Amino acid sequence: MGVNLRELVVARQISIGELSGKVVAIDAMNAIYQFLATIRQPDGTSLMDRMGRVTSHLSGLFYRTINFLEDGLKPVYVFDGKPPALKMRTVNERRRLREEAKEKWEEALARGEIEEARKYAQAASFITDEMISESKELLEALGVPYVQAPSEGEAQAAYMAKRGDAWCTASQDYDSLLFNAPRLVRNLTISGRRKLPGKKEYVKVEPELISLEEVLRVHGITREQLVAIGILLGTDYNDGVKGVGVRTALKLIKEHETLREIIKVKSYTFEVPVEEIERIFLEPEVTDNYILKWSPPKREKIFKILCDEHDFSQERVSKALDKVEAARKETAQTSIERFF
Amino acid sequence: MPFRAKFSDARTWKRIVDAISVLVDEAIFRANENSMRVRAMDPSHVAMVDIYLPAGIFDEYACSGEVAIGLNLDEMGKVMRRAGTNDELELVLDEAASSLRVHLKGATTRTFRLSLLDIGGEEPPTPSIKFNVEAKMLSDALVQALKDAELFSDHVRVSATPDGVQIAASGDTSGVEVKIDKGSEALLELSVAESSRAIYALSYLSDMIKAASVSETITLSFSTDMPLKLEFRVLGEGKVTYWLAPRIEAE
Repeated sequence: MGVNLRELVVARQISIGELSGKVVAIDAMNAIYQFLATIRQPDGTSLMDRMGRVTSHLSGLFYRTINFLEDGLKPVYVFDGKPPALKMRTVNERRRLREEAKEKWEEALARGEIEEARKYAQAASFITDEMISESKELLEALGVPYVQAPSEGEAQAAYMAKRGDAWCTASQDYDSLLFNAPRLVRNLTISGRRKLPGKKEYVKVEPELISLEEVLRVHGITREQLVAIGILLGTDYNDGVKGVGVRTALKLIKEHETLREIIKVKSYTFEVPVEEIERIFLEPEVTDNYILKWSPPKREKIFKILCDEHDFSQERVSKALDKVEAARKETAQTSIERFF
Repeated sequence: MPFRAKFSDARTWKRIVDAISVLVDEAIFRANENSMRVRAMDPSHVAMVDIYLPAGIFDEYACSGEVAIGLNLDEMGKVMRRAGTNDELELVLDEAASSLRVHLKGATTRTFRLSLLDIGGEEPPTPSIKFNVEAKMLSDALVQALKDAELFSDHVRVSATPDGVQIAASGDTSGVEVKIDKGSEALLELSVAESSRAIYALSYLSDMIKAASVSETITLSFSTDMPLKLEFRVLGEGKVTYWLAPRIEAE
């Protein structure tokens, strides 16, 4: 999902410790989706409480955020608002794929094919409104701020990073670069290892830092041209041009400079006006209306949400909170820029 | 030739390159007719290095206009590790070939050609800080104190009173405190406007001090919960300055 810029970006491995003391604007939907997809039992069943309600998202959000706080990060979660009209097609397509995957999951379970079942179960993950409000409630209890974006969460996160309110954005998608985030960190909200699809093997996954300025400099392009490449490849708002991959897109934009010129010369057609897609990236709907403040976790409140309502182990939750309390007494690395 | 510089001892240049590569992999050397300078911030934006090399410290120096020489320090470091102890070094900018030629002259003359990097970005400003403590001390005293600290922690508490400088580190139950007292042979000068203390990450500080220990003495300046400034001299008038942001109590 999002624009696939993997072949274009220059990524540098970093440790979570390097982000200590820095504000990280996390794409909340992206993170929650990953928790739902990956925190599952071997046959693909989500974690659930005794009422059969899914709790994978709460488990992921809680333990991952605890790790961030322990490492001195200042996380802020940015939630999606109303998607741009152009995204409805993508939204509907995703829903169709999920429903298809859910059927296949049930079929595989009935056949007793555990590996197959897990694969489809992951693809069938979906976020409900209830999960979102529970997640926000949990963040409040953790003393971690969240921001409600008017439209795309990644656009809002990018805006906050561009203004210097956050040091970087965090998401698996590359879209925040198109939205002008100076830095993007990937692999932050997934656990330290990722299961290889269809195999019983795990690979270690390290966070990586991508600098927009570096990507643009290495390829000798502007951000507008990067957006043009995104549109040629396909975004959440449009299908890409058939047969145009990253290399071709880069070559085209360097040769013809603007998307308009490429479209003219190559007679490409898009199902929606490209100006509208460009506008989503270049003039996104964002808000200044947010306050970033971190406070100590509220123990009782967290026990109530996680243990009383959703059957988490009180002992494990308590241990995790102890770690944060110990870390709060420690020191955090400051940035030298603060003293210019 | 817009830029040409010579050191009779190639190791001087190696030390300068090493001092920068403590923090960054690439750097821009900015030269004009009077001096050569480098200012760079590490990728995590925790520390900075500022190097000033006046024309006079080179054995020969010529530069016309302002030139910016972007270098891959890893590559430059590798070349400099090939320099013999009696080698003479000459740097020549070849703008037409977009490269820097490094001549090492010993029994043979070796010419390395390093391609120039096109490094963008503004030069960072320097921190503006009023320092309450300034201490000039023997580099080795600081090197040893940090080695002691590394046994117990990944950060040190540096403090100063009119009586001296203290460096302390503690683990969960154990720890160490090193006193560098006024009047001791390790502490050459001390001025304290106000007793101060701050905490710094050893991962940065140890590397900086190691690079600085090519100079016999180091000047260390800081204030409570403010960056540390570490300064040492190269061939008299040449100056290397490090800045390191403090670790502070979580808000």
